[in-house]
Parts: sequence; C-alpha cells; structure tokens
Amino acid sequence: MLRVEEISKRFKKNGRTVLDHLDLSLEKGEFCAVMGGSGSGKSTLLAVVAGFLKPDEGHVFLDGKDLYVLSDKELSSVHRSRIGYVPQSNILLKNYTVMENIVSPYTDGEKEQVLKEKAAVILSEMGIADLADRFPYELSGGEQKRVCLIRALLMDPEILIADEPTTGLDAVTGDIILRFLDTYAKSGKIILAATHDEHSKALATRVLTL
Amino acid sequence: MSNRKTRYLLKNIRRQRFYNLCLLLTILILSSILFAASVISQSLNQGVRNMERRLGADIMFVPKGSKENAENMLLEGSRSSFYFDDSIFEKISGIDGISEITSQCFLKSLSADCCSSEVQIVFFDPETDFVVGPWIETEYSKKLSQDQVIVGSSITIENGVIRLFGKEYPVVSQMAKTGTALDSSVYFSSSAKSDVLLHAEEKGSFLTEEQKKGEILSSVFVNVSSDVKLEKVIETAHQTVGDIFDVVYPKQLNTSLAGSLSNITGIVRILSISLTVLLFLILLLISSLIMNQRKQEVALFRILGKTKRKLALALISEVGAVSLAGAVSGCLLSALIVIPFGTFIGRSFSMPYLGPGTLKTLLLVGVISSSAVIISFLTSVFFILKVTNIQPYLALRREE
Amino acid sequence: MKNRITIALLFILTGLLITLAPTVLFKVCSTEKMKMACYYTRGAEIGLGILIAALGAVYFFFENKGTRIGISIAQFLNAVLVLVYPLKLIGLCKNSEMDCRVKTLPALIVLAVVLGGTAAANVIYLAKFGKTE
Repeated sequence: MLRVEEISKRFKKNGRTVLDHLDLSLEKGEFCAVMGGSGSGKSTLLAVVAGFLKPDEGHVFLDGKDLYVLSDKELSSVHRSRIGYVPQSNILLKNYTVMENIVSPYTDGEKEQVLKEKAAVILSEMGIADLADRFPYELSGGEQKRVCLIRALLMDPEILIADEPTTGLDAVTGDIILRFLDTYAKSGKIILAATHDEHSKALATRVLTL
Repeated sequence: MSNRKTRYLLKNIRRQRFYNLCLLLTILILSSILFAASVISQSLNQGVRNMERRLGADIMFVPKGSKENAENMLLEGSRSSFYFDDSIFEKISGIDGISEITSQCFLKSLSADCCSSEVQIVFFDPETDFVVGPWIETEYSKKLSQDQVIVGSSITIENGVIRLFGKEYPVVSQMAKTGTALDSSVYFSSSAKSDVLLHAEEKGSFLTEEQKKGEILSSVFVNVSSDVKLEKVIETAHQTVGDIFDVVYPKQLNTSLAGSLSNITGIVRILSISLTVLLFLILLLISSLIMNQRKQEVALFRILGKTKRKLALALISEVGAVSLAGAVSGCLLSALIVIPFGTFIGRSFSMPYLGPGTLKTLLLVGVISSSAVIISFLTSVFFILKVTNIQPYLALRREE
Repeated sequence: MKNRITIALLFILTGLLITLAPTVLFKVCSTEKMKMACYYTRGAEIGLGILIAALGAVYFFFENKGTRIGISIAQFLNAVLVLVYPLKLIGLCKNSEMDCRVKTLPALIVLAVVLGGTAAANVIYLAKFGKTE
C-alpha cells in the first residue's frame, strides 16, 4: 500500500546525506518503528514519506501513485484524510482552544458539529475529555501531545506518521499513547513512528534502524 | 455565504483581535478622510458653479461707497441696501459699447412670519435681467405679476405665501438650493417696487428718505461688447453721470472665487493623496505583521490538508470583511459630521457650498468603501500569497 | 465593571456636551433683538443634557443588569428627545442661514446619534452578554 523506492535526501547546507537509497514497503496493520540516534534522519524520513519534503531521488507511492507528482489539491486531500501526522514538538495554535485545535484544520465552519462530537469521543478515550475548552498553555506536555495525536487521527487516516510520540513523557502517558497506537494499527491501519523508546520497539511489527 | 461560514469568519477575525483592530482603524481613518475631502471639495465646486450665475456681468455699478457692501452681498449673501436715483439707468444705457444692461433694487426686510430673520428682497426686471433672470427661468418661465414672488430655497413659506411688511404675497415658485446667497432672497418683478414700498410705509415699517421716494435702484449690471474695453465704458459713465458710483467686477470676483476654489481643492487633493500613501504604507506594515503572525497557523493547516487556495481565500475574506466594515463605518462617521455641518463648513471657507444629495452621498459611500477595500486587498495580497506558498514542513520546523 | 465605567463616562460626556452645545460650543442665535424659538430649545437642551449626565452617573452605581438595561433604554429615548425639541416640539429659527440651524442643530444631531447609538448598542450587548455584577 505504501511503498518507498530508492529515496535519498541531502541537505544543501552541510552537504550531508541523511537518507541514502532507502526502500520501504508497508501494508495495512503494520506498526513500523524507525529507530536511530539523533541526526540519523528519522524525522527527515517521516517528512519525505508523508509527502512534506521532496526527496532528491526516489519516489513515494501511495496505492501506486507518486505523492510528489500530485497537484496541490490532490496532495492536500491525501493529507486531510489519508495520512495523519504528529509533529515532534507539540505544535498547537495558542489562540485556539483544544477543541478548535483539533477540529478547525478540517472544517470551514461546515460539518463542524459532527467533527466536534467525534473529537469529544476520542478526547475521552485518551482521558482528557475535560480539557476541550482549555487553551494549549493551560495543558501539560503529555496532554498537549495527546491533543496533537487526536488532531492527526480525527479523519481516520489509513496511515499515521508520528515523530517521537512518547519522547519526554512520563511512563503512564507514554503507555496510554502507545496502547492507542497499537490498537489503531490492529484495526487495519499503518503506523510509522520515529522513536527511541524500547516499549515502542516491543509493540512494533517491524523495526527500521537508520 | 452561509450563516455558519459567516460565524466561522467572525471567529477567525476575533482570534487576531489586535491586528484586525489596527487594520480596521487604519481603513476607518483612511475612508473617513477621503469621504470628508470629497464631499467638501465637491460641495464647494457645485456652490461655485452655481455662483457663476449671479456673477455673470462684466460691470456692476453701485452707489459710491457701497463697493464693499455689494461685494459681500454677492459673495456671502450679507444683506444690504444702497440706492441710486433710478434716472441713472437711462443715462448709462445710452453709453456706446454696452451689449446687455439691467438693473436691480435691493431691500432689507424683517420677514414678518419669523420675526427674527431678515430677508433680502430683490426687484429685478424679467425682460432684461441676465444675472438672476436665466436662473429663475429654469423654474418659473411665466410672467411674474405685481404681487407674486419667487423665493430662494432657504426662505420659509407657509401655505404658499410669505408675509412681508405685514402683507401676504403668494409664492409662485421656490428655487432649488444653490448653496449661494441666491438662496436667501425673495424675488419681485421690478414693476412691483413702488407698491411694495408704499405698502411697507403704510404698515409703519421704517423706511429711509430715499426708500420713501420710490424711484430708486441699487445697481446697474452691464455686459460690454467684446471689442470694447471695460475702462472705456467706465470712463464714459463718469463723464455722463458724474462721480457718484463705484464699480464692482462680478466676473473678476468669479475668477478669484474659482481661484481660491482651485487652491482649496488642490490642498485637499494633496492632503488626501499623501495621507492615502502614508496609510497605504501602514497597511503594508500591518499586513506583513498579520501574515507573519499567522505563518505557523497556515503551515499547520497546510500539513493537515488545507489547500493553498482555500487558505488564501479564507485570509483574503478576513481582510476583506474587516476592511469593508472599517470603510463603511469610516464613511458613515465622516458623513455624520460633514453632512449636518455642511453650511457651517461652507461658511468657514467663506465660499458658496452645496452639499450632495442622498443619492450622490450613497454613491460616494459606495465608491470610497470599494476603493478602501481594493487598497487593503492590494496591500495584503502579496503577503497572503507569500504565506500560503511557504514550505509548510520547513516553516513548522523553524517555528519549533 | 468595565462596561459600567465606559458607558457611564460616555453618557456623562454626551450629556455635558448636549448642555454645552447650544450654550457655549455652538451657540444658538443671539437674544439681543428678541428671544426666538431657538432660545427656548436651548433651555430644554440644557435641562435634558443635565438629566442625561445625571443618569450616566446613576448608571455607574448600579450593578444589576436589568437596571442598567433600563437606564440605557431611557438614554436612547432621551437621544430621540434631543432631536425632537429643535425639530418638532419647540423648533428653531425658520431661516436656514441662522446660527441655530447652521451650528447648533448639526451639533445636536451628532450628539444624539452618538448617545442613541451607544445606548442601543449597550442594550443589545447587556441583553446578550451582560451579567449582574
């Protein structure tokens, strides 16, 4: 379903090659953990696979279609409903409430109510239902991370790409998130997560070391 | 636009309260200044154009010593009376080189129905008058009988009559507003002069000795053939009637009026252009700040699947809505001051002033609001395109 | 608290200006020759302006939402009255070139619109978002 062929990425500034002719193929239900030291290119790989960062060489195919030849509209539609992305740091909009942070990327005011109800369900599954109307600065790091995750999951994407979803979190929160990812993968989705975490490694169906 | 979309738009505008408030205020100031400037210069323009009618004579002969009074009467509508013996008319009309000649007689009166305000009464000869005659003909072309009157727009009439010196005169026509001294006068045919004076005296109005005599006129208006010099005519007049008159040059007054009008409109134009340029720069600054502020938001939304087009449209409609609100309220605020105070403004410029009608005002609000919206569009579109075209992933990493 | 201070100040300010407009700032016609309609309008506006300012001061001391809405409605009606005196009930000089028409009336129009607009907007605001403090 998701196929990565011979991708390479060099950074112009220091000329360093971070990805060198890398291949990867993932099918439904797989949980792939990307491991490696810092600077090994984990985040870069995720961004390339997600369709955010064009590789210097190689292709990323989703159901046989090259992501990097799609039009803005087609690629946006992929990002909206097929690939969910959780960035490494908790990027939340500070003048939006938690609920607005989760819902507004996917609505222009239409269908807002439906999405809000759905978000409320996931918020309570994650144990933060009471935070819906708070602002990001009122949340702890773990809570923020969960909000970012819910935002990525709202449209039920087939592929969830998470950049270090458990880094810097306490054990309990990390555990909640990992179990959630595991369940999500088992429901027939693909998970690609960069991590240092041994727990993730244990849950993963495949480990890719850079 | 659906209700929900409107609410969403308003919510987004409120999120950037500070910047949008700056934008709103800038547009508000810009449009209120532009509105005031255009209303004032248009009204002065219209007033001066109407004034030309009254100043359509080469020479106006007035009694010696009344030059200043006559000029003030023509330009500012101050009420005055000064008199010649009416034999002067015959003498002057015999001078060579005169192509048109007519006389008028002025009388100050207390308007009886409003004890407070004086009106200027003008006796004119409908047959020969080329000063107010053509203007009056635009509204009333029939012959004016002895006791009929025509009144300017600011004269109050009740039940179709005006009371002067205790007698009611039927008003056959009220002229449209001109914004000039013409508006506050009452016009009689000159054939009514002796009757009116007689009646005034009977009713116990105070008349001067001259006025009691009845055979009087206040000024003689003359147009001179194009091949004859004005000085020549004036010199001959001196020889004919003696040194009993002063000369006013209405057409020259008109030229100087037009001159000060173009000075005023020039200043207004320079001021509004430079203000527009200054505010344009401020708008550029505000747009660049707003869009920089929203970089993270745009990048995040792009990553999560909003198209460039949709984001650009959303940003443009936010700027558009705020600017439209600012522009319309700017025009309305400005109208609230400029329109009621119209006469006062005209008076402080010492110029004739005719404010725009409702339709013209609405048109002006429309034109200025849309120009303000276009200006704010122009100042923001570059930054909107710039921010929606960023590399969202790299932008987010930079913001981290 | 914020609403109480801002609105009370606005009411007091417009009230004072309504008193000052026909007397000091944009005087009505002089009474040298005789007292005209605008002289009596002037008297009415002085009283009305003081009333408006006094209601503004009263507004400041009431925390109750209903009372504040009530005062605002009264101020709106006062704003109407500010214009009805010169235009209908008492009148001004009839000649449109007179000072009372050229200066005083426009000033009263502006002040009445400001007062009426503020009061109406405040009624809507309080009805929607206002709380008893």
